[in-house]
Amino acid sequence: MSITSDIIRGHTETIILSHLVDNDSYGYEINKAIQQKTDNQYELKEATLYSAFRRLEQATLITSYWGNQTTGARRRYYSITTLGRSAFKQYKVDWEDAKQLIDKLIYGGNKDV
Amino acid sequence: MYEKFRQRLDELFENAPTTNRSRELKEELLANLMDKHNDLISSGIKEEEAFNITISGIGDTDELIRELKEKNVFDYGQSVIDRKKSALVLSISIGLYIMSVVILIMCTEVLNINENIAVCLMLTIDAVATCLIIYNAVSRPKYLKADDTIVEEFKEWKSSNTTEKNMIKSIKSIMWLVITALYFLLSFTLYIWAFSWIIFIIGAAIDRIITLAFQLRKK
Repeated sequence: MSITSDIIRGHTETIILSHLVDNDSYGYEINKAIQQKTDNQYELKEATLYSAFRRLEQATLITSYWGNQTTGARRRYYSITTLGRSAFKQYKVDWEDAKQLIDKLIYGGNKDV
Repeated sequence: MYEKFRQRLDELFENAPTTNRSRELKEELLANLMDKHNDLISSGIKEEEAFNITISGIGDTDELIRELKEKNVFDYGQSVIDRKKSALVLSISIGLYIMSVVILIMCTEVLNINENIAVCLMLTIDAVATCLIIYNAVSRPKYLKADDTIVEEFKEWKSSNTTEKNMIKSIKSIMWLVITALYFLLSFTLYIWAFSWIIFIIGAAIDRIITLAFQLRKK
């Protein structure tokens, strides 16, 4: 599991972007979706999630706005920008390339070993 | 429970700078932690345990705090260039003011040009100089917030305040220039030296009106 979580952590930004492609969302909703999609095998630490938000915001790949909750603390919603969409497209291409390369390197061109 | 979470967050972010950014981050975290906590409770977990799970899920806040401490360094090189440019424009305009008087004397005394034309020429040069000063004051880049601290907000407020002050100053200097020119023009042409000084009192009144107008606009 440790290799898996290391790899996933390296792609936190991409995972967040993929969740924002369809609609705006907030921290806990994104983390819950990650949990559900991985059948409770993986969950981001809040610290990781929010520093990724800040990095994405600084790179203007996402923007944020406050929701208008009347009770309790306000939620901060994030939405993907056009720049974020094109960056996400590029990430997917890069990931496909990386996947093929790592397959080749690990299996040495022979997947049955 | 809300208070308990807030206290815990305050402890976790004890070392974070007290900026708007950290306040917002804490508020954001709090909302999400409450959501998580409520979800855990509705799935049948006891309150105490849910609190512990939620808190341990935060992870290492060091990175977050480090990011909050980072400040965008004010671009020093650009500000030096801007200052030089602004100084050049200012010197040119002051030079024009002085030149305009020289030209006035030259026209009337040496070249024997009609006084009215000479005064008009001087006023035109002065107008150009004043336009340069206004342009310089208005086009100066606003102080951009380097960080969301109260100090930065104060600097930004002060900076916008001085831009406005510069604008008022420029407008008033044009007004006084026009009044002085009018004074001489009317006095020389109509020979009403006995009364024409009243124009300066009117000028003082207009001066106050300009200040008042800006103050009212601010409200």
